[in-house]
Amino acid sequence: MRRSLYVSSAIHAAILLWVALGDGLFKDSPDPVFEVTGVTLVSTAEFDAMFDQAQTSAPEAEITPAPRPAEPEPPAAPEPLPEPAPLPEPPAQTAEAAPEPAPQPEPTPPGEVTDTLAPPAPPSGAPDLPQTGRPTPRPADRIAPVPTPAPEQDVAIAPEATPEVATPAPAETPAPAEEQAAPEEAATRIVTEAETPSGGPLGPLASIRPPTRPDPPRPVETAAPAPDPAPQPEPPQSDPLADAIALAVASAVSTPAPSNAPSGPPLTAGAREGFRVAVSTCWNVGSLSSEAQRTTVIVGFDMTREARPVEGSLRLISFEGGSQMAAQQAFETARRAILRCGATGYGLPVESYDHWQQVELVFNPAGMRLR
Amino acid sequence: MLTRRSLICSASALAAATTLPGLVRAQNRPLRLEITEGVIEPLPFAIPGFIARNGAAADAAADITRVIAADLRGTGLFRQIPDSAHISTVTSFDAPILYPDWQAINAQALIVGEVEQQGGRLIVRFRLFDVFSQQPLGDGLQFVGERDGWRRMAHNVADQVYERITGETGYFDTRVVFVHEEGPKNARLKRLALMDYDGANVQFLTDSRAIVMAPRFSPTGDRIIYTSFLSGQPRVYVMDVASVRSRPLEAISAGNMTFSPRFTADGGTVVFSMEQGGNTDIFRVDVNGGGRTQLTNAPSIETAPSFSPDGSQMVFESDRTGGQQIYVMPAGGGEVRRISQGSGRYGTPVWSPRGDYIAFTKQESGRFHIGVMRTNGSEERLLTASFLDEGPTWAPNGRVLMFTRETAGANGAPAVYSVDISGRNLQRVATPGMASDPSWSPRLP
Repeated sequence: MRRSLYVSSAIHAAILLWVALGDGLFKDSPDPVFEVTGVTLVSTAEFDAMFDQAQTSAPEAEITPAPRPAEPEPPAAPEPLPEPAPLPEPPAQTAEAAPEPAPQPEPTPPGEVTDTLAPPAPPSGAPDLPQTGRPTPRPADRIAPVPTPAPEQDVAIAPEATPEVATPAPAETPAPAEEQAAPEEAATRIVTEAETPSGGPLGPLASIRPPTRPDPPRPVETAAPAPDPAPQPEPPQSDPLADAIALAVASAVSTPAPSNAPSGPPLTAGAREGFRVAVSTCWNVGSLSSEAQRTTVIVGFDMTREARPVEGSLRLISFEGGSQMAAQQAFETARRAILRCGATGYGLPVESYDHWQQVELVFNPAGMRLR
Repeated sequence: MLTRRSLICSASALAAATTLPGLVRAQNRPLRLEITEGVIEPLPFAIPGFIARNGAAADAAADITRVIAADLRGTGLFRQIPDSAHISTVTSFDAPILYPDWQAINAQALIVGEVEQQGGRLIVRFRLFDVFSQQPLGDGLQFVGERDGWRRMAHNVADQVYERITGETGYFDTRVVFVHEEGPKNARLKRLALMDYDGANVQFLTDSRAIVMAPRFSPTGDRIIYTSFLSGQPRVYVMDVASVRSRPLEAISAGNMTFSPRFTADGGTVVFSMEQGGNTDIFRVDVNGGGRTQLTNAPSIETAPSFSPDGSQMVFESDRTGGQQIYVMPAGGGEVRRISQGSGRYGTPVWSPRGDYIAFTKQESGRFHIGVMRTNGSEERLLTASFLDEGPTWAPNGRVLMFTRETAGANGAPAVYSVDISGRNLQRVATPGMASDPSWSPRLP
């Protein structure tokens, strides 16, 4: 019973102390400051005069960027105005009216795309974009202009002393790689986009050029390995799986890249069909023997850039279905067809030359004999 | 987790290892296209007049040039470019060929030759060129012969050209024996005659005293076997071509009708049909008499035997199943196998010299056809159709057939035609009158 009285008394005493002393601890929020603006009453005639004057000076209002959006003016007259006064444009639009940035290099037209490889990329790997188009960083005061001193390097204290390693240490201890960090773009005040000093667009002006294709790896030189003066047994730390992967990749990429790899667009189906039909029109099997008409020959040849067959390159690659003599007859007929219809060129696109520089034609008379 | 990542890495690496080289190789492959459709048209060739090395050879040079060109044109496989279209003129046999001039007129083959007469002998030289390949087709050749044999020399040149371009053996230096006919249809006179394959050099082998029919060359071409009514009934005779002497086949009963004879493949024996007691079967006898063997024995008509080139099989016609059909049996006798399966009546089968086809006469729906089929009866193709086509005979290269075509009506007359086994190039053979029953000789020695 008495304990309840003590508790109640203590609580009440605390409340009384909080009421008596709390005014000193807590501070009231300051009263809002009301700005008072002087208002001048004008008549209708004076307003019209002011309106006319505003209209005459409207173009200047469009050019001059307004620092802040104009506040809507109270309707001074109930009757509608014949022409509403052009309101100043919002800041964002005003920013678009700013002087254009420096001219950018025009992109290469798609029709002029060539197979010429891009020059090798700079070693730093930075894109070779023009810097004129990049928005300059905003000059803004930092919150903490004084750089914080670098913290002391943590040193791990080993429980036991490690003996010095016998291997020679590098001459210079490489500095620890520091991660590149952008300066903190914080300012003491809000900086809007409208106040961008450079006035340039914030978006990227050009795409980053893709990195150039790396050079094909050179074949591993298989020079005689120098004998190790002091072969040291290495611990078997190699992972068999990793070794297999490395070997597979190495064998794949070490395949000597052909120097005459086809370039340019491949032949279209129409061009191939046109080529095939052109040869067909000159392939006269009427004078072939019955056996030769059962013989399929594969004829290989080279072509010039004018799509003319190189006469000396025609050769019988293989044949099937007949004797050697029949194959020779069939080959001569095929050769005659290739040379005769190719005398003026087969009209193949020169940009695809790599794809038809070498040709193999299969002359299959199965559908032609004795119909 | 590590295991899974390792598996992914290894799979990627292996995929790269297997596909990357393949892709590189694929890019290096030449463009490959398949040509399955061509054209079938005569091959244009140019043959400037052969050069006469001396004045005495001028006529022969012109004649030889003309015959060579006609031989090639007659095959239907070649088209001669007229001399008026030639740009170049060949003034010397050894002069270099101006290929562009011949290419410009689309000549694909060029034949250049010269003729020289030395005494009574002719020397014919020729060269064949592939114009668009700009190289000779084979070596140049030279033929030497009597002045009177200029046609055979021309045929030999044409054979060489034909062989070098087509791959087939030529058939120009051959002859044809046939039945020359004269007079009205109800009183026709028939004689055996011999001519070059192109109708030239006709020689009569028999007179008109007796009707003759179905002459056939021996495999060597030195003998002819035929049927004659000289004795009043049909009987088989053998003629030596060189001496033009005939004799009846021995070992044949004089009272039996014998007909439809043909040499076997080796030429040593003869097969023929003989009627005995109202039944007709096929027999074989030695060409010099004796050794008669009956090959068929059926109560039906078996006739028109023909041997395969290797002599192992015989094809003949028979009506043993009611209709006239074609059958094949082993040469020494044995199981008979019917190979004609189509509708209509089949007769006069002849085995190709190459052994791949059997030519025949077919009668169906009131029309006659010359056709060919495989030796098992498959791939039957009818090459001709007319009121009456019959009696095919093969060229020695097995690519051309010759047969008899007779027109309808009271004034109908037989003639000899030739056709390619593809059914193209149907031509009438020039004969000095009505002609029937041709038989093509082998190539002359």
